[in-house]
Amino acid sequence: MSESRRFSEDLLAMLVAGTVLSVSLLVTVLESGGVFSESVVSGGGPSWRNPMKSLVLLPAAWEVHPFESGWEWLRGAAGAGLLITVVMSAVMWLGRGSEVRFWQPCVRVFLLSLLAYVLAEQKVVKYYGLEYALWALLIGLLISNTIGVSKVLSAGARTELYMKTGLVLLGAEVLFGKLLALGLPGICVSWVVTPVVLIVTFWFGQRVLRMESAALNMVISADMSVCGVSAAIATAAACRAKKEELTTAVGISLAFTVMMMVAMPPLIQAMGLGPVVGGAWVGGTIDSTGAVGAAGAMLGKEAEVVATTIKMIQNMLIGVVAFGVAVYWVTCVERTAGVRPDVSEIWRRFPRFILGFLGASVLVSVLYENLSGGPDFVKAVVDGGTKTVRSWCFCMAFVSIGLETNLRTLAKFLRGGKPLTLYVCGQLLNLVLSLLMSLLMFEVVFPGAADVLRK
Amino acid sequence: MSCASERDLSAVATSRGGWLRLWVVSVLLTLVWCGVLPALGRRPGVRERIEFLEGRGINPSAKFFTEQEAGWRNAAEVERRVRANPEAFWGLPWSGLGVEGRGD
Repeated sequence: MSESRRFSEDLLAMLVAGTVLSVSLLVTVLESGGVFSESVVSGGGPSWRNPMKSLVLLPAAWEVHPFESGWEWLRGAAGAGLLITVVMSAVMWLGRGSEVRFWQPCVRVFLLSLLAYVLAEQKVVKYYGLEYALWALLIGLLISNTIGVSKVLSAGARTELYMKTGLVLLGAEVLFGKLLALGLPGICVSWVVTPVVLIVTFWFGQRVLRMESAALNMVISADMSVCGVSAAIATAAACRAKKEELTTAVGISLAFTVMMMVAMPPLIQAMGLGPVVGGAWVGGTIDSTGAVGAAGAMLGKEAEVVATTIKMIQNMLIGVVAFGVAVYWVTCVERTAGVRPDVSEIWRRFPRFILGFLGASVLVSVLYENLSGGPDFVKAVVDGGTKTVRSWCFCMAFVSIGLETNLRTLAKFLRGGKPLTLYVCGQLLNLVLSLLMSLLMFEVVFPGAADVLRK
Repeated sequence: MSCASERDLSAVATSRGGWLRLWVVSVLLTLVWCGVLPALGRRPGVRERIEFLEGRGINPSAKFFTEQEAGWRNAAEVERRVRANPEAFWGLPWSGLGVEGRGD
């Protein structure tokens, strides 16, 4: 094949994600009898099913050994590996004719991701919110810093490809309608406090702490203020952060997530905050989505509902933040001193995968709102296929980061303690502002909303 | 993202020491995951919490709301309540508006 074909990583990622999303949409429609099925015609709404749900799986949770609930998940994981390898290899062949044997390194990285996922699914590990990103990084680091990375494995360590593919697929889970899920109180707690904390923390890192890397500053600010690892991934890709910078931000975020998940519920009880304000505070401050659910549940059902809803609204911020950061980076951070880049220059440098992310989000949001049985259809498409492939892609991205990272280089990023200081200061601001906004919204401005949520 | 590691990791020597370190860490991981963690999970407090969260459909290691059943379920529950009580969630107390139609 021609060597001249040279698709960018962004385009490759959009092609892979677009293929997976299209397949998931198509098989869901076909399996469910399509939009002309009897149940739709009779007005009952279709019962959407996605056949991928039983063919493409993640490892099952386990307590003593990974196969205690059977072997089905292994077949599903093999199905996921096959799908990812085939689609990625085909797209690589299409976009970069020279890389015809990408399937070999891709399979190796997938197998390491499988190991990381199995470790993460141990119930105690899962209970403490120590997600697969951590174990994928550690496995990659372990190999690269002990026996080294073979050429074949190195060829499979395509962090950008996996990460951007995962991000475009994540777009299919960002439903714009969910922004209004909790009315004005939700918008104020999630959409006013979060950007304020993000911008102030970034400013603090640049002007007060004088951090050497603006990208590291931005990734930490985003993962702390928005929603942890997923926001860190999106922001890191948008501002072209180094792999070590993403690793540093994720490590700090995971450590504080565990601490806050354990400490916040008793603190809220000691402060005598009600379940609605307490839940909103938890949802607005703890980084990780899963840890928010766990901490909220410790405070009761009402707090869990409010906390997970606030965090869900924050989840929807990922696309806006990634888009905003990409524009800011291209126009302000990466520009030549004193020269204002014109539109063509901005377009040339703009990370295109973000358009794929937003495109997927708009498509799925429109289907969710307008299709007969839209919410069930989107849930079938996401739960059955895209979410699983997205999770595998992120896991493969973190394995790849580990494989390409030297522990000594990583230590350099933590030296001086500035990343930690930035996170702590930003999180303190987040805690104060989120609490004040939650009190203002649910105790002063919308007490009726709190009453409704408490019922 | 750019690669900051300056040395070529593929060139790291596949030395006997490297294999030994990998083997030792692998054995330790196996012991922790198949011995220590299951034992910890059998402790009444931890087991209760795990069962409680599983029962609620909460995945504490979820990265996005779609990764836990509670995410979908709680959102639907809140949306239902907001639709049923639009004035409580959209009407500012000083405006006197009921914000009709919001919940439709």
